[in-house]
Amino acid sequence: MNEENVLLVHNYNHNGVPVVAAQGDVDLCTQDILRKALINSCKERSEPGKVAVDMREVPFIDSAGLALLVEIRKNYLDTCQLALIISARSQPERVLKLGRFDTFLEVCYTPDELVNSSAPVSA
Amino acid sequence: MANGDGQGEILPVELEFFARSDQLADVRKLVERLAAKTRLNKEEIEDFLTAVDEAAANAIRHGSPNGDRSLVKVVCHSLPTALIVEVRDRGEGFSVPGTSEMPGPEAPGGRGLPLMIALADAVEIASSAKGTTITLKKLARSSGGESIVSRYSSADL
Repeated sequence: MNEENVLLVHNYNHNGVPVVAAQGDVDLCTQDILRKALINSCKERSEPGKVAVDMREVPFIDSAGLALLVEIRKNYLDTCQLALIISARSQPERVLKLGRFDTFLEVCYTPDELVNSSAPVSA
Repeated sequence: MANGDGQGEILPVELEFFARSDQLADVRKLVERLAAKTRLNKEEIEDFLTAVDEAAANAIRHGSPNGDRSLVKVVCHSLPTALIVEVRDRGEGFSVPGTSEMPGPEAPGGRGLPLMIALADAVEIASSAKGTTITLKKLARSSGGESIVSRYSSADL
């Protein structure tokens, strides 16, 4: 892998919501790193609830990254309510809106918004 | 360097690479570097990088008959108020779909071409059994340039 095209992920918990934080571009090359981290977080949930992806440090996502989010949402629908934390006026925000991801995934701008909100659309 | 057409075009910059997904970052970096010398603003550059990335990813995934030993070429033409990027592969070509609509939000895929069309100002596809060339153009809005309606077509190379 190109040394400068590295996606870093780490986990944190925000008021009971497990969060996978990504740092770097999510593209055809790096999406598998995020896939593995999200699958781990979804599998670790002992009961149904939210799992969030903190993408505030993701400056770029392409259609491979979008497909990954759909895949995770579909495969863990029964146990994980996928939510996204993004930066305003960013490339990911525009691409997610073009794909209408805000109609079926919870999209927030801060971790605090996760706690008291619910997913916008039913399964 | 001007090419004599009065438009101030800089000499084309080419990047040829093996069809591996880890090359996408280099493609984006090249286009970003060239775009920084135009009047495209930050949002326009980010949008165009997305379109180019999708075209290059398409070449890697679908236009590489010899896998990662196949070659993909990216040719960039810079103008002060626009950037044009061609992505060429040597695959077997494909039928240009009749629609460019974004698939439903929960569709597993099919967003590449719709993103290209949504985020570039013009998209042209020439595909044959010898390969595919996708040409993408982005205009700087601040330049007052007229927007070109996104279009795509199939033609012999």
